[in-house]
Amino acid sequence: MTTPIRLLPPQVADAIAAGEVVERPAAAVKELCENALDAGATRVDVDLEAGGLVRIVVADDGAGIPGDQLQLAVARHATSKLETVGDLARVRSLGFRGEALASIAAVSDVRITSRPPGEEGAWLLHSRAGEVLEHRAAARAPGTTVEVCDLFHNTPARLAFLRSERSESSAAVRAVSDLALTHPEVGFTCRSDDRLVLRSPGGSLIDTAAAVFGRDAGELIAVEGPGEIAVSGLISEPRSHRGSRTGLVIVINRRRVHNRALVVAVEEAYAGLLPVGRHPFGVVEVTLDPAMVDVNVHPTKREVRLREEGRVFTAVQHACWSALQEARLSLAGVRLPQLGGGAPDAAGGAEPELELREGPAGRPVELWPHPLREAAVREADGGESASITDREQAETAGHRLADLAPLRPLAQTSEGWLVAESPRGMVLVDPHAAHEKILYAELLAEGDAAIREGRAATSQLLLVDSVVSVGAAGVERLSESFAILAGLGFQLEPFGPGLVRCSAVPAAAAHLDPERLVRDLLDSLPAGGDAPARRRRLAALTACHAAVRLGARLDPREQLRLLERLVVTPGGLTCPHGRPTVIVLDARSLRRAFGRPTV
Amino acid sequence: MNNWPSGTSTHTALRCTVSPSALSSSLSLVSRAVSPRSTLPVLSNVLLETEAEGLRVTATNLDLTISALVAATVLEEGRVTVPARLLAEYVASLDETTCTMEVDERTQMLRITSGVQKTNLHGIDAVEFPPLPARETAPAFEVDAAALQQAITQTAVAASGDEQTPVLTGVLLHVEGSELTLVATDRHRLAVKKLEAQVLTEGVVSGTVIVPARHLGELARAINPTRPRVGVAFSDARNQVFFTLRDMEISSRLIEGNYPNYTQVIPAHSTTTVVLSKELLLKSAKTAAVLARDASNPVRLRAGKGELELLAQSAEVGDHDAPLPAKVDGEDVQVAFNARYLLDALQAIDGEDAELSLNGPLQPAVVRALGRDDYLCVIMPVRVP
Ligand SMILES: Nc1ncnc2c1ncn2[C@@H]1O[C@H](COP(=O)(O)OP(=O)(O)OP(=O)(O)O)[C@@H](O)[C@H]1O
Ligand SMILES: [Mg+2]
Ligand SMILES: [Zn+2]
Repeated sequence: MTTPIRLLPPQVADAIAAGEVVERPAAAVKELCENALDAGATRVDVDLEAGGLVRIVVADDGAGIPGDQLQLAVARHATSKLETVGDLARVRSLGFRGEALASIAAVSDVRITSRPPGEEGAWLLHSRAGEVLEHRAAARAPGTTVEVCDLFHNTPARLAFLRSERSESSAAVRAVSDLALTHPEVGFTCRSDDRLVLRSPGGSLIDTAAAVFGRDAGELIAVEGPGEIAVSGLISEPRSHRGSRTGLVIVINRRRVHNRALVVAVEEAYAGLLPVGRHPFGVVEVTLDPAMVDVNVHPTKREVRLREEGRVFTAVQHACWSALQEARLSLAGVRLPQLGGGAPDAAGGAEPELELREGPAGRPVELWPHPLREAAVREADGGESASITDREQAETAGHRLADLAPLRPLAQTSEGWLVAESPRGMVLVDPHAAHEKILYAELLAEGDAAIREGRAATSQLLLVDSVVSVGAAGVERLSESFAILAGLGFQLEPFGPGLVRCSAVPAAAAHLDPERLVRDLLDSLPAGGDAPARRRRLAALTACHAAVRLGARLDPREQLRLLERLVVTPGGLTCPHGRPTVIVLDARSLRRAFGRPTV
Repeated sequence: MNNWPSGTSTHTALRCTVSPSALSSSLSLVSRAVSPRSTLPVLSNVLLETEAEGLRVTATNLDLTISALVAATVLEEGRVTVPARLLAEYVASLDETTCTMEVDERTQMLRITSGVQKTNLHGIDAVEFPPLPARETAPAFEVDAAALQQAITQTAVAASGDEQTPVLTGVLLHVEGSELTLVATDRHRLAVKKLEAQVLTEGVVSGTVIVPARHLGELARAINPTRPRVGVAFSDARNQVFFTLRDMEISSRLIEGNYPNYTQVIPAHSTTTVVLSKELLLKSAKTAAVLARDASNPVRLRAGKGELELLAQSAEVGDHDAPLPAKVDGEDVQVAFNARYLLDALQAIDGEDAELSLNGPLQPAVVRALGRDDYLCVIMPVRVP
């Protein structure tokens, strides 16, 4: 970063998207941290007061700014990072517009103290509302500190737009976290009102992710997809998930971006593994030829445009999906009592929990299922180049689950759980979740087959049609999904104002009242949403209603049949809501639990 | 439990002697009307009241009321309610020696003495027991109990278990002259049974009511050779039905609403008729339907060339393939049914031979006993590839 700062020629400056760079404190924090990263810092320390509204301090140990260039740094379109329009296409640094510092300085009180490593001393530049108040020698270890006070003090209109201090503060912290994830080798700390809210050690992505996502995040699954479009990162286990999408960080060429399609690509990989309305989190990093990315879409660089988005989408989805397939099934809340130390039940009188770890050979026995393959990838990809076929997937999944086959039922507890035996150990089964997943997979598979073969899906025809009153809006919303529902075995049609006639239901749902089912389907229909997601949701709901209830008694033949079907169900280790269908208590875990020597 | 107050000043409100086994068998039928979890404590109780001929035992959940008269020697008249389950369990445990039951009016405590064994049960004053639906009129018609019992089993199976559409959880009772028709459907299948009714009143008897299938099940349970006839009466308000048996009366609320026009869905003709041994078909269908709840794997029937073939395809258990000798008239056909529906229908029909009237893969089929038109079951196929 020893390139001197120069004013960009006007045409270059014009080529850069205009607009406000700093619209809220979080944006200032992000820009300042990015500058630190561009300066090659190995440590970045952020200090926030009142969410950044009162004070933001970002200190780094980077290349620094020579004293004679400090004034230029706060000038508009002054950058050391880019000189020609051609350079713009190959942007690798985070900053390139020469705009951020100037924009921040224009609306706040800024003190920059900086000392390049080679220099004797530091220089300080103090400006307020863009006007330089002071420029003098100062003392500082090599690196740069930018202190921003009274942000937006001179732009009350902007101030009025800000949300609560708390949400500004969390947005600012998130901005730091995002950068920590994209630059795991750099150590970050972030304090908010003197409280340490983030400390990433600066090292591996795993450590950084653990710092960012917290301990409750469980184990993160490593994603690795080498190639021209390389995908890497760490994503959440299906058993931990969040209520919003903000925990999923998409990085393209080390730049945190907001790209809806790629978020969908990751979520698609979790299809059928997460509860409806829940989202995975983690960081997914895409590395590709910078020529394929247009970062200059939005002044805050938040959104990027991808050339060949379909290919990137497929690459991301495939990589995440494979990672989920490889990862093992570690079970939530299942922990073996710690027999050596204090038993957990001694502490709070709580039930001892069981934990499943590794199989006899030190290899994981519990495996994550494979999400059901959806048409989504193919659709997103123009239909041709989907790299995984249904067949491949089914086979892989079958093989994994087959580790538990033959699954022999032993008993059903009074609460309804099934106790079974497998070659891998004792297995506890949630009959509802298991049946639900079987039916879900069957509904989707039958629908796919019907489409492929150009025929109607298998369904129980009604002797007495059911006319459901759903109101005009209901008819409207349902009819958007008639085709999807037909693929699942429903036969629905508008039938007079506010009425829908149902003349067939999925065979698996024959014992249900069609009227109630149709109403529930309508209630669960997400507003809008893409077709594959709607289809999965409707299939999941139908399966849930049709599946045996947890308390229902199953005779031994029914139990056997259920288990036989489960072991051949793709993704059968979790229900469509992402809960486990089976818990495997292998010999080693049990021996450990009973305090017997493990063989 | 408190101790029974001693001394002669105690006034007894009910006193009788009764055979524990007679009381026990009535209690087991009556307590079926007790709601398992009721917010009203008295509804967990049975009402005991003396009558000239003995002791009347009654339980109700407000929808269903069952009462039975137990032969007893009444020593003192009175009424009381006591916890149904406790009483039933205790009485069932007693030896077959006549026991004495007496109630202390002040404490509403029921003391049961059987030989040297004594127990006290806390009662609730009978005035708290809800008023029971009163039968204003004598039964309008009567049917043979065993025939009704069979009719109920044959039809109730086709009623819907889902409360969403209440009328379908019931069995339609239609009386027209000397014919009683029972109908049930869950939208996928329809069962229709006709039996003879003996009209007891003057004039023409005609009417239609819907009785909860569950309540008819309780009626069927009460039928045995000691109760050979069942009388049927309706309340004047037409919201209750009363079934009278020798020593029992069962009354049920009626389900209000419009029943689907069932005659319309019974196909008048068929394109294929298959006649074959019911036992063989039943055995084969049972094998084909391994998991009864597993509706997603229907049983396929292929009729043609003097045989009926049953196919149950499921990748997991392999194919089950069973050609059965059959008399097939009409077009060759392949049609699939939910295995449960087919089994239920076959189990419900009488006779040696079953007759299947098929109408192609997408139209309703009729299952009946060959040569019998008192019972039929209409089944809608599963559309399969
Ligand atoms: N922490 C820092 N360490 C070293 N140099 C810095 C630092 N912060 C800013 N600079 C210098 O100041 C210049 C202006 O920074 P500014 O953020 O305004 O523009 P930029 O980073 O080049 O582009 P952008 O507007 O896209 O962020 C940078 O090009 C860089 O040379
Ligand atoms: Mg910058
Ligand atoms: Zn469910």
